[in-house]
Amino acid sequence: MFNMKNNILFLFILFLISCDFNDTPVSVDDINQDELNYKEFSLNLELSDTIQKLPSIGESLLMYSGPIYNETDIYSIFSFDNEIFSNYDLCIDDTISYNSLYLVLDLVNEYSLNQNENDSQPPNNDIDATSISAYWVDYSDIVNSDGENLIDQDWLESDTYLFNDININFNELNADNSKQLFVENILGKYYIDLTDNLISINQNNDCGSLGVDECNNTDMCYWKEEWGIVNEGASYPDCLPDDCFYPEYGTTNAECSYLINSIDICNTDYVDKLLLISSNSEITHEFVSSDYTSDYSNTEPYLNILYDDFEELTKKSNKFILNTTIPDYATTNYYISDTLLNNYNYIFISNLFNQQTIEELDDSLIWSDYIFDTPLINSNSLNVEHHLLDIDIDLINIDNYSSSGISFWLDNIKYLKYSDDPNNDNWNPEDSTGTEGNNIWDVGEYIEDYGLDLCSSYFEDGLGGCVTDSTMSAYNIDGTEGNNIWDNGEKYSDYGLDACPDIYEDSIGGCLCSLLEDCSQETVCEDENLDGLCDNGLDPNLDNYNSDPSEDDWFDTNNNQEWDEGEGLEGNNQRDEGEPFSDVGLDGLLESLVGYSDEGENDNIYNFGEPYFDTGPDSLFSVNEINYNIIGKQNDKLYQFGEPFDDCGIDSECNDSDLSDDYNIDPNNDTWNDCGSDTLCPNNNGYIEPDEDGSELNGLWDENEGTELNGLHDSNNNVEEYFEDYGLDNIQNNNELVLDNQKIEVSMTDTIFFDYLNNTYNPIDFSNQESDSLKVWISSIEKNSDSSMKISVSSLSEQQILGLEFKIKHDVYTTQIMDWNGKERNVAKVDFDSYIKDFSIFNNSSSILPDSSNLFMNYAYGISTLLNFDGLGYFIENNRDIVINENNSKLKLFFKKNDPNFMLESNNYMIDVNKIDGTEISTLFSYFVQNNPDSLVIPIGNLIQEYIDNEHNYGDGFLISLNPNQYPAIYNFNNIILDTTKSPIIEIYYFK
Amino acid sequence: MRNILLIIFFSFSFCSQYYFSLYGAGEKIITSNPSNISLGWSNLFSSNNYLQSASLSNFYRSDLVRLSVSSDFNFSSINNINYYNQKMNYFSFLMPLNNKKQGIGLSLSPYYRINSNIIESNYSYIPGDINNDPLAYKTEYSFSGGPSIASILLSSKINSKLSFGLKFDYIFGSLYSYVKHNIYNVNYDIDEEVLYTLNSVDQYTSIKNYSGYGLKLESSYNNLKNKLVTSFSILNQTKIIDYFYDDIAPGGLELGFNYNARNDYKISSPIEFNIGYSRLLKRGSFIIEYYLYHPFESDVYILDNRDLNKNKFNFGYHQKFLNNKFTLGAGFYMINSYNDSIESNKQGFTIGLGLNTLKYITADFCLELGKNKIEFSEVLNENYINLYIGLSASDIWFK
Repeated sequence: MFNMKNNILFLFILFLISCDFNDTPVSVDDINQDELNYKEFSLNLELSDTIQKLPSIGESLLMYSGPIYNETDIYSIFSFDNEIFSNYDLCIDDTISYNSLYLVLDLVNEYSLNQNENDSQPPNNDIDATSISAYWVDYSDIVNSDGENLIDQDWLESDTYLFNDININFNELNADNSKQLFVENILGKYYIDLTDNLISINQNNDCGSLGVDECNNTDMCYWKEEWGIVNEGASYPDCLPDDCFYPEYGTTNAECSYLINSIDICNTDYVDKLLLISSNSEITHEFVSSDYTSDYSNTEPYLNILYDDFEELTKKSNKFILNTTIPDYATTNYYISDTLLNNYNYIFISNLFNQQTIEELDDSLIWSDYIFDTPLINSNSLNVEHHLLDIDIDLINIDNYSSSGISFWLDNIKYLKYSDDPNNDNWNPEDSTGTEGNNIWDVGEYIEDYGLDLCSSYFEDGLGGCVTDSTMSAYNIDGTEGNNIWDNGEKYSDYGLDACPDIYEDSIGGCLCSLLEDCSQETVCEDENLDGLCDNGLDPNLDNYNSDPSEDDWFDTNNNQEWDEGEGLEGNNQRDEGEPFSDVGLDGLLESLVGYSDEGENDNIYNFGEPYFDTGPDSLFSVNEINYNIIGKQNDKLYQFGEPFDDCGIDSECNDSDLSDDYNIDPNNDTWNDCGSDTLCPNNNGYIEPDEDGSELNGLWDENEGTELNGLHDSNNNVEEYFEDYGLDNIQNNNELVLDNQKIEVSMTDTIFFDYLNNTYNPIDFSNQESDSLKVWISSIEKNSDSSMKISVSSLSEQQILGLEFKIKHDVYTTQIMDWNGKERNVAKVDFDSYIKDFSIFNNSSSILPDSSNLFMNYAYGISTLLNFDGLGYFIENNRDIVINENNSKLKLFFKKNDPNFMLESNNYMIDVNKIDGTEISTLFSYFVQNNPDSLVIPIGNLIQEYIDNEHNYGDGFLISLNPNQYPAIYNFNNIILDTTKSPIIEIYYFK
Repeated sequence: MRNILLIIFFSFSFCSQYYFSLYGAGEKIITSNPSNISLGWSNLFSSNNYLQSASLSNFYRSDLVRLSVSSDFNFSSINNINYYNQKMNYFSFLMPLNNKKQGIGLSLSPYYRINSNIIESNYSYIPGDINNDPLAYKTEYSFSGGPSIASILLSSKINSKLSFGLKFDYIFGSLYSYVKHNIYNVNYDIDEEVLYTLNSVDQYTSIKNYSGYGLKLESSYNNLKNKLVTSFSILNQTKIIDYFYDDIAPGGLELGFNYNARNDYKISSPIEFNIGYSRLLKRGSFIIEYYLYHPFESDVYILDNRDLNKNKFNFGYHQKFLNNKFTLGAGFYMINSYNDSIESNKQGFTIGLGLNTLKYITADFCLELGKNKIEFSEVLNENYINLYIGLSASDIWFK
């Protein structure tokens, strides 16, 4: 029974694994399903037309000011939505004093319509602020010729307006100072001053009754004096009649004003006004609008608000300034007093000079800049308390602490220990292992290993002597003659890596002769023209470079991008007589594939459209031509390492008697080269064999070998190479003392409090520094006067001290006060809503009509083109079950770029393909057009499939329009014209 | 051991199950119960009728409440590519109403099924012209699923010799079709050898959602040694909603994309007729049966192939052993399916084992070996070996 169970289990497992589980599709014969078809639809010019539907006035990402087409102007208009701005946090803060307020506009580009057509460069961006004017106007200032307002008071950016009569009276605006705004151009941004227009003074206050002193001492008030003409007709004695009208200036009004004020647009009762911008020149300015989302290149408009906020501030002040120090035990004191410096109140003490020295520094003392001979604390003064110095300080801001006092302590205490041999490397009779001062050069000690001429090769004169100016030296590492390197310009034999001409090649990659000049071997072929190549084409080592053995490749000799008579035929992008072709007919399909032959198939005649092979008349592509070899290095016109060359320098003159191009890196010939006692190395002329004494190339300096850079201290008679006997650390004892890493830290002292009122303090000792070898502490404090003090510092050391440094610190006075704090904000949005409304106003009723086409696109004038294709609607309606081959189905458009009204101010633009449903237009997809093409192929298969699937209704066709609202935003007035002589066409591949 | 080797040999030599059901709505599932299949795909008789659950007009005979499930394991080999499939394919719950006079039940099973993945072996072409290059294409089709059927069953005794059964059906479920159009550029080398380079791939998914109602009638005449059973079934017009998803690969549907287009179709009723005769012999029973399927008419078929007419003859023999603790059945069937463009001749041998050794538990195993010769644009030979396993549990709830 047990076996039976096992058998059954085994069988089940076998069943499960006996077949490979595979999802590979089964291959079957053509089952005649889903047949691919092709259909082409031409544009119906009668049913296709342009449609004008103006965009909403505020949707553009860009704003314009300046002249545009049709001799009209465009202006930018801004207003502020107080409903949105009133939610801004500053609006509910009643401790704000606004100083100034600017609307900031970002300039994107400038266009000049009158520029020479040949000069397509935009005008220089660096223009002054007066190139635009800004006005603070009422709605009644934006009118038509009949004086009627053009804009409703409650206008929205989503509104659509048709403007065909704009009549703004700029003479009136310019005459009214209250409507003119100050404009400043700073780094490409225009700052329009709205301070007087949007900041209102709050009159509801008690400041008005205060006098000047009382006013200035009251936080929220300030004494305001107005400057102006106090006497229009001041009489000047003996003046000429005209001059007597000089006015007299002075204070016209003075009063105590309330500092708190507000911004008008915080107020929901604010009466809306408009900000109008016009250009003062022939330049059209393009600004970023409030619909733009700021990016790295442009910033949407914003209000720049400068204001003071009356708020609680934390203020700090020092209690003293270090005046000077008075050395006592030490002779030399340095200190830093200026509290604006980082290391102020630092003091550095030493016995650097033998006379008393007190000096103020701007920065920390660099100890290693000095050589110290005398320790601050010597061996005789160890473990004895010394009064090191006194510190004179001037008390400041005494009122802050006159009722209390000052706490002092010393911190950042560091000292340098004094020692005869800090690095312990001095030689002495007892310790002869020391290397400093042992009077011999030790490997590792600094040496000027210049040889016995005592100068490096850079300063050698070539005559055994030295020069002081390296430019006078015979040294020339840049010389190309004799440098054993091939330099561009030197003659070479282009024999390839085998360095052998074909006539001596041995067929196994080598050469029959080692010396080509003296070769007695029989040549393998003739080479009458001595070009290194066999005249019969033989190439024994197969290293001859040849990319076009038939010499039929096309090379565009006159660089006109077209094949010209006489140029090679292979690869000339056209079918030439004799070139092979596939005689498949115009359908491109062999009879063997489709079972029938079409027109032109198998007629042994090339028909235009049939595939051909651009081989040239030899019917071979170069790669198939005999002797094709692009990896060969012989005759490749390039020098290869190993090829023989004349090392005569770039002038190719060996016997030029010109030393200036001779390579020379050892003019005095004293650099060690390990050539042995005979001074000859294997590559030297006259070399026969290695030196018998084994001195050649033995890695050791031998007699007669050069002494420069031989790694030894050389001397001869009274001449010896210079070296510094400072030991292996190459540092003299004095310098070893002052290394930064020798500084030893000492713990900070306890705090000592000085009672200012009672002139008392509790002395401290060095309890904080019990474990330190050096103790430093404040030993006494006394008042010199009410405004100065003397602080004494003492020390006690267990070891010799070279010098020390510390910082005297104190408890800085800190307090909270209410005061004005200057601030600045840039506000573009409030709670993510834009409160700035803007649009460009221009005569948008008459568009820029093309000369010879009725189909064009222009965003600013709302012009789009309805494309209706013959039979496409019927096709869609009657083929609801087809599947479009999306990759190969496309819309082809041709542009009439030679139309004078074809305008494009950028290389790229975006075309929207839209559906139109009654008056509603909605975008189906967008297509980015690059490099201003003559024609365009738009993949449209997906859209056609959606029409077929009834996702959209094809109706009378679809609309194409320009979409400049992208990033980066594109010029609104581009005028793209379709060529109707080359009709747009739709090609559809589909499965049915 | 010899038997094991024999089965291993067969499992490598034969394999399949309905792989080329590329017509109508897929393969019509005749029956799903292993004890029926073991008699050569009998619709009316069972080799192990211990629980009286296999026949619509006779399941009233038991006073047990019965729960049955079955599963199959399908192995097929086509063009040396092996395929494996396993599915649960039958569920029923039967309950007596009146002591061995009436019974009622519920069942769930596949109605039409297809699991197929094929690709055209030859390129088709669309000619080029001056402006356009020629293109070649091949299409890959993959189908899965199909409608299922949920039924309410009623079985009743008329007298000691006559009984009848009624089945009310609800058709539901979906057929998934994944189609991938592979487009190629046609190029030639200098020797005019054709080179195909992939140009693009378009794909779409179609989901056909079925819903409809049906009725089946079955009557049975019994005497001591003979049994004659006949059945007839019909549907109302079944509604198909076809959802079209453009550019959706199978996995894309899981991301919840909306369909691009919807089309509604209706299909007419297929008609099924069965008649069978069983004769009790000395040790077992011999059965002979004929089945006729008249196809439905519709605007939409798989690959535009109309549904097939079917004729089936099957013979079987079954016998009980050891006081009905074991049953053995064997059968042979011939199924001829055809329409204007497809013809399929299927022949197979089935052998089944029923185990009734545990009280209230019945297990059925059926092994099927067969071959299918399919002729449409080419002749395809399927070999298949299938294993069916059924399990029924029963209990007395009412006395």
